[in-house]
Amino acid sequence: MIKVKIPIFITIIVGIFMIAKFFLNVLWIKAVADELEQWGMIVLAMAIVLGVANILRVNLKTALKKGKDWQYKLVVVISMMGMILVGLWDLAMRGHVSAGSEFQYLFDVIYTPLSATMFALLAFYVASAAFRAFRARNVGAALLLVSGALVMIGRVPLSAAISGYLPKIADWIMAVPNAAGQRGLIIGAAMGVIATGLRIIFGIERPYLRGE
Amino acid sequence: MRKELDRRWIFLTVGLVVLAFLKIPFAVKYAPNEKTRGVYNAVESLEPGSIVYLSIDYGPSSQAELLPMHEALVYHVLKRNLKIIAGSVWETGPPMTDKAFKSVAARLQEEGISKKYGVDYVNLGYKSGNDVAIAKIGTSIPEAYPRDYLNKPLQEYAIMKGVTNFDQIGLLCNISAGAPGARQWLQQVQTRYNVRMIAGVTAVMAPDLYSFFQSKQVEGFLGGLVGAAEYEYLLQRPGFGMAGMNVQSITHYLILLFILIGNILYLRERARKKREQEA
Repeated sequence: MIKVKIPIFITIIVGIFMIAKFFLNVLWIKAVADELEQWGMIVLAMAIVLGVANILRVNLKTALKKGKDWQYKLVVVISMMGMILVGLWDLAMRGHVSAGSEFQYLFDVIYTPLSATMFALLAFYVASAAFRAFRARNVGAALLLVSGALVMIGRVPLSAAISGYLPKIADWIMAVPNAAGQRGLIIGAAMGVIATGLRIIFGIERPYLRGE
Repeated sequence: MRKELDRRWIFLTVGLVVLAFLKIPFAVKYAPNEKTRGVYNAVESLEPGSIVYLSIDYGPSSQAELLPMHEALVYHVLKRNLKIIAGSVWETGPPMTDKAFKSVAARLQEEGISKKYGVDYVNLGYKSGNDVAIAKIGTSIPEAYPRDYLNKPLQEYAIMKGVTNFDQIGLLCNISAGAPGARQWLQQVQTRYNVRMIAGVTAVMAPDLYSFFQSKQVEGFLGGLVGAAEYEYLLQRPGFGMAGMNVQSITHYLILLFILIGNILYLRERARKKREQEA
């Protein structure tokens, strides 16, 4: 029972202080909430350490047992440990991992091109997906297709050279129907977040206790 | 008739068109919209010596889209004798900040303008914690970042003298490729402390910001590479944004062509099936 009550109590206290800080200008409430924010950042930083440990555990286990895709998992472990060790070395020798460090060098010559290449492939997949899936199967799909096409061509400067109306049409679609839809989504999501937040703060919903 | 075209032909066409139009110039017309002008005017409206807080929340995967606007913005701010405090809530952000500062400082040096780290700009590095980190930065910048990216105490830097929170910041600017990004900065800092804010985001994130622009919570924003190109055009400083507009324009039209061909084939196939059923 105490395993349930203590986390709920902590959640209520933290939640109330954070909400009170937002709405009230009371010095001691602000001081307590600021301290809690600091704790939150420390806990979240520790979560990264836990994440690293978990990646290591899951991947190393499969790699050692030569399970499914063990080669890829070995690459993950070696890459991660390599970057961690190089970063620690830089911290010990230079006191930082920024410009001029080996860590930065590896980031620039390995991570940057790999990451940019993966993202660049998107252009090819978008073109292929547009050809195969973007079809006027019904009125709704046709509307989506026409508005998507108008925005796509209206947002590039070549269209402004063809006709001054194309950018204006694209901008109208974005500023009126798109913004109206976005507002509905944002307000709806915000109401949901408020309701869920209150339910969690008052212990009605307890996802952090696996629903206990 | 074949129902599906081998996708490798599409990949090849896109690749060839991109490569060709990197070298073939043609006339495009820039018509910066009110969102781009909003960013430009916000920077122009600041008094010399004012501080801009720049949150760089993206990584190398989005650098083709965001680095041009990032560099253009840093160039504009530093050229106007404003100061930049740059932080990041993405672990990949600080190297991008370094890259932009270095290239802009070199370019300004060529123009005879000298800018010094710690005096005119500073890179605070990465802060983990997403929304909580942003809220903490809003409460106190030195408490959230006791040291910069070079691991030196912030008190050592002239730019940080007297800076405690967003009361001393003239403009908040977020360049982001996802979450945490512009929306989290709006929620945790802009609304709470009534800070003036501008943003630069990837093209897919831009639709999110229209509502905030209309409510004047964001004074302006740059959406994707075209936003960067329009901004460079306003600055009269051609960069990677404007250089990429030929290729992007043609690729958009090429994708439109693929959509048209796909739909013509689909409608023909549908008509054929209908005829067969009737027969």
